Amino acid sequence: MFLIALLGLPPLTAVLCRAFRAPSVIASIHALGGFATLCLGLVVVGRVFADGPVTAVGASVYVDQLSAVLIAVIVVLDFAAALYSIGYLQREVQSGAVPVSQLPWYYCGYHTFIWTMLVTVSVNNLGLLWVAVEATTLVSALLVGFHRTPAALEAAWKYLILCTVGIVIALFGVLLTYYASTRLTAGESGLDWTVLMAHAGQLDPGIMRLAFVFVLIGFGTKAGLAPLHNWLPDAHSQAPSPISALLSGVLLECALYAIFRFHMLASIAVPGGFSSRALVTLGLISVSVAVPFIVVQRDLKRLLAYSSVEHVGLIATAIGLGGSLGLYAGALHLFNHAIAKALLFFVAGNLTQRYGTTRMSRIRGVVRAMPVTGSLLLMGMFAITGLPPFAIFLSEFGIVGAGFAQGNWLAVAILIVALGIVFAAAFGHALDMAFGRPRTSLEKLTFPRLRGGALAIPAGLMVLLGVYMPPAFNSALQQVAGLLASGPR
Amino acid sequence: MTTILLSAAAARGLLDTISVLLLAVVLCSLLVYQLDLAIALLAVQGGLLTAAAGIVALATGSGHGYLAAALTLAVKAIAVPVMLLWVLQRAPVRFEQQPVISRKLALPLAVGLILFSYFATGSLVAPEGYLTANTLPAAVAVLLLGFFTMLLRRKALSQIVALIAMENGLYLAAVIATRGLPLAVEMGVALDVLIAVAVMGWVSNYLGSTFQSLDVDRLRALRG
Repeated sequence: MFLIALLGLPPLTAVLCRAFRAPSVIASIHALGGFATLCLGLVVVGRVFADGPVTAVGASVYVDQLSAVLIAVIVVLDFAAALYSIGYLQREVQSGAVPVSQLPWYYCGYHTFIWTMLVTVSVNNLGLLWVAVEATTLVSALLVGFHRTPAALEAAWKYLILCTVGIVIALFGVLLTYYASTRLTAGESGLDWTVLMAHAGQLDPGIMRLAFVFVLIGFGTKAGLAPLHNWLPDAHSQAPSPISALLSGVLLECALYAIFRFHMLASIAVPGGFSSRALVTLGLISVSVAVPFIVVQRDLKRLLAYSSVEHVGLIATAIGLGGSLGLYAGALHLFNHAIAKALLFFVAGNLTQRYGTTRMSRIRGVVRAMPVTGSLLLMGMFAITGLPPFAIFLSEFGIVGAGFAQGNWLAVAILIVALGIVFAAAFGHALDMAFGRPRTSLEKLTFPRLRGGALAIPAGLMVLLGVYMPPAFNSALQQVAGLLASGPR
Repeated sequence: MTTILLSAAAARGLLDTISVLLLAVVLCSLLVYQLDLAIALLAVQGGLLTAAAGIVALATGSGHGYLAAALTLAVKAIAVPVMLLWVLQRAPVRFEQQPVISRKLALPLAVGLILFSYFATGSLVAPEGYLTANTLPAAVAVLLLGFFTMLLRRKALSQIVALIAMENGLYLAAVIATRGLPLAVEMGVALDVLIAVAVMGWVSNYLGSTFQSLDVDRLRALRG
């Protein structure tokens, strides 16, 4: 019941946003829609962790603990980004970067985008999962190109083409999975997760191995796993900042979610831990490839985008390493990265609008010019690099610990070196921006209070989870780790 | 209830022929530089896929099969080419200039890809159902050729055409290996293809008005 409402609300909000013209009316509908989605989402998540998987509409919607984590990430970031969008767009309209007539399209696209992600993580059928992932690309590409500048259009085009090619390759993997399952269950339900999982042990190992390779390449492109990440820094840096937050914080993780589903199948069907090794390999490559680009980066939003490549790699590595520690840390990192990256993209949005550029060499003296944004910038950068007391420290510590536990010394070495370099580099960038001497005097600009509220959500969560782990949250993560380790219970 | 109008053996033979024809059409479109002709060839591919889906429907007598064939006709053979022609009419370019590599070089490479697909998939699955000597290798070859064509194209519109060709190879593989995907998935995929072409057409239209050409080689601003 709540689940159906959750899936029905975003499209309704999207239509309503398109139906009205007055910016204040649209903004209220948009904010209310975001808030209602948050409440419904949290109710659904609470139920799944209390009573186990929930199904709806026959069995075509199936939400288990893994889906629930993603739903939690989606609705929390949805609400924060929804609040942030209002102030951000107001400013864009004032500065003439966006015509007022485009506002309804933005809000309509925003909620449609949220909807496609919610569908992605809650459908039972892996074929429909594919359909939903492709839909996220199509909707978000329009949002990436929203500013219609040459750079934004270039980024949107690259994003569309590369991710669609990737996803066609993933469809081949889905097809192979269906082929493997139709030999067992003569029927149309052969792609349903519940059916596949029940027969996972009997699926042909050769076909499933090949299927996983295609799925990993295909959805890996969408998740931004190196070396398939070329489109990511462009798309994430050219999108409007609230959309960047959703792309980096949530959408990448939805693509990872798709990979993890197939990983769970493959780890039962294919003996020898083939899919785990593949995940660890791609994960470590992503972490290593991102490092030099973070060190030499000159553009703030591209810095954050490359940091997403790094963190996606970390999550993939954690799940690939496995063991109760690795899976727990991976799930925790999924959540931590989402909120930290959302906070940083909101901060980047404030800075971009204040300084009129994303070049870090021109963003100087932030702490003096914008005390709140400046402190949040420092906090976010410290958090994302894994400094205690923030929550990312715990999850990164857990991931490295999982490497020790599995005796994978190569992974441990790569992770420690990469995390060390990223820490130093990002720390340097952050200090320069926060305390550097500004080159030009700035015009006076104050942001409305609502925007501060949007920043407070991820910032508050980040601090809270760093110092105090609520027992319910802890037990939820343990359930996810258990699910990833053993299949549905 | 289900009436089977075509014997399995006949269906196998026909699908085998259609796969080879599809491969030939995709190979031709690699060598074609006029955009309107490339779109026409895309419609022909759609027609061939409709025939393939129709043959499976006749041979299995399932309602799902007929629906899938109708869907393929509507989307792949009609809607997608029409939408692309609409974009072409508004585009400043009519054909692919300055090929990345010449046709003399592209053709042997393409033949190499086809041989590779036969070699790689020949031993992968035992011939059963509609998997015959040509069907699966041809489907994989179409996928690879589509990708290869994409690498060689500079115009945004030709890239879309090549992308749909890739997807067509996959669709053929789905029809022959599993008699299509589950109906809900197939409808979802068709809807995605339609929206994808619409969105890509829309973006390429803006690219056209911003860069005054649909040449993706000019998209070089974002680096590092």
